[in-house]
Amino acid sequence: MPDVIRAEKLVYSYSGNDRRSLNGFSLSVRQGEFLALLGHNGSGKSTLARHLNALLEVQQGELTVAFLNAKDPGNVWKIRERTGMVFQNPDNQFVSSVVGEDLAFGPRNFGVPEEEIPGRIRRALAAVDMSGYETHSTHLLSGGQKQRIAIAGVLASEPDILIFDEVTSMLDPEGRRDVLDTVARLHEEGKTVILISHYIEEAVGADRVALIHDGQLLAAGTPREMLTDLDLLRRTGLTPPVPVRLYYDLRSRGLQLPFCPLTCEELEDLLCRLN
Amino acid sequence: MRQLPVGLYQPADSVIHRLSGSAKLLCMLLLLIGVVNTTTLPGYGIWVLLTALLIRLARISPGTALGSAVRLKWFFGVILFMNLCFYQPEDPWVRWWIFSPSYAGLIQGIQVVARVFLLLAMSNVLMVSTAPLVMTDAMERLLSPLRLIGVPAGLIAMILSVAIQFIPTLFEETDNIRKAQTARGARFDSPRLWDKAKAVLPLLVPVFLAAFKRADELSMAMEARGYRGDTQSRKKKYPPFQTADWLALLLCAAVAAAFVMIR
Repeated sequence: MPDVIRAEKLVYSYSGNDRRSLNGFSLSVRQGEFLALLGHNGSGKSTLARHLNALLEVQQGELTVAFLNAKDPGNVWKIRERTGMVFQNPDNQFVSSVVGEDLAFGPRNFGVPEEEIPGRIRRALAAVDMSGYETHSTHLLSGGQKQRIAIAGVLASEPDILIFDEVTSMLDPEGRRDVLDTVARLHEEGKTVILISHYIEEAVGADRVALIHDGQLLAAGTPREMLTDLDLLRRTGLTPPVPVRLYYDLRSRGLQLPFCPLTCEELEDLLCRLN
Repeated sequence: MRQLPVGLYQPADSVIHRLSGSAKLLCMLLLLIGVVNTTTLPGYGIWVLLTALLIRLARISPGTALGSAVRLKWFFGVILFMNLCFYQPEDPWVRWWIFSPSYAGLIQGIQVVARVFLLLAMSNVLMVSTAPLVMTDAMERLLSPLRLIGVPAGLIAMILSVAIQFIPTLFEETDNIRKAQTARGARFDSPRLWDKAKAVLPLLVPVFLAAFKRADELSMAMEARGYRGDTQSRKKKYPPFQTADWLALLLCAAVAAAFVMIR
């Protein structure tokens, strides 16, 4: 699979701020990959996300998104059409208080013929499991539903790459699970997914995990490699998942387990096998 | 959510909902012309009936349609009082200090109140029955001739519609901040004006900050979804008016013309 995103030595600092939000960040993402990007607040995650959607101009370094050079101003709208971005607060993403109207916003901006739009809206709503909500008011939905509508709003433009920038941080546990299920399903359907988060548990289901710290890529690898490495996580400023913490705590108290579990299910298996 | 200051769109399937947005806006303008040209009591009676009919046709509850007008009762009171006392100082009932209440003033006051009340009720019907983006399109369509003289019609329409659609969100936020400050001892309910004013000021700052933050995030999200403002060469084809649209326009024009001529 070719690299659909390739960032090389990206450097970015916001105007009026000497600190570099990105400080030589390099990363490649394969087509159809599910990449989780983890880092604590202020590590440069969102700055990177905004580069991937051409919302920020490349100051230094190289960046190709959807095989297009992001430094070419002529590519800005093409990149935005091929990469959909969902933000943290669903309330601040709606342009209309009616679901169907809001979903039509993206396609209209990208010049999709008017007669094609209803079909796109229907497909986008089906993809987030909210069919039939066209005429609903966005104000009356739950947090998780709002965020799924925001995702549908992005899907209506039919992008290949989806970037989720801390989309679950304002949701209750149920809404969070629904949104994460939706993200996983979209990946299965062939979209390239970049999930940005500081909740480490959300990265467990990813193909690959990248850790970002102080605007640099600290490490990247499988979830098992990344999330069970206590030292690495400590340097990133993240807390390991509960099963991993438990594994190391038990080990320090003399209980030897055959492997380090990553999920609660694995932990259950492991504990049952002890019996 | 607490009481909302403006009518908020409520999706439904009614004759009024199905009319095209620009036809509805034009009808509203025609009715406005009719209302301000009404001078007789039976005339206002007809308007009340017409407004009731509109509310009925749009299938919205009278509470929703009249709510914002009813909440302005103090404003109406002031208008009535001002007109009563200052409208016609030449021929007053009594004269006391600067006040000179007169019959003409009373009639004028009642008229102004009735007009504002009717217009509020009718515009509520319009707002409740028209989706914000439809309204944006309608405004854009009606403003588009002004493009020739350099008015950014699309931009104005978008700003208005986003502003309207954020009112409930900001209201909720104000309410939350108010509750949080009440919990920490702010006195919004104090009968003393000075205490009230002191309590409101710290409320305004966070509300404004939050609004700016929201505006920033929304503009980012809109850009990410391909919005380019008015520079976009969006050749929008507006759907032609349907029979119902023409009929509504014709009716409103006839009513407006009748009232203008009677006057």
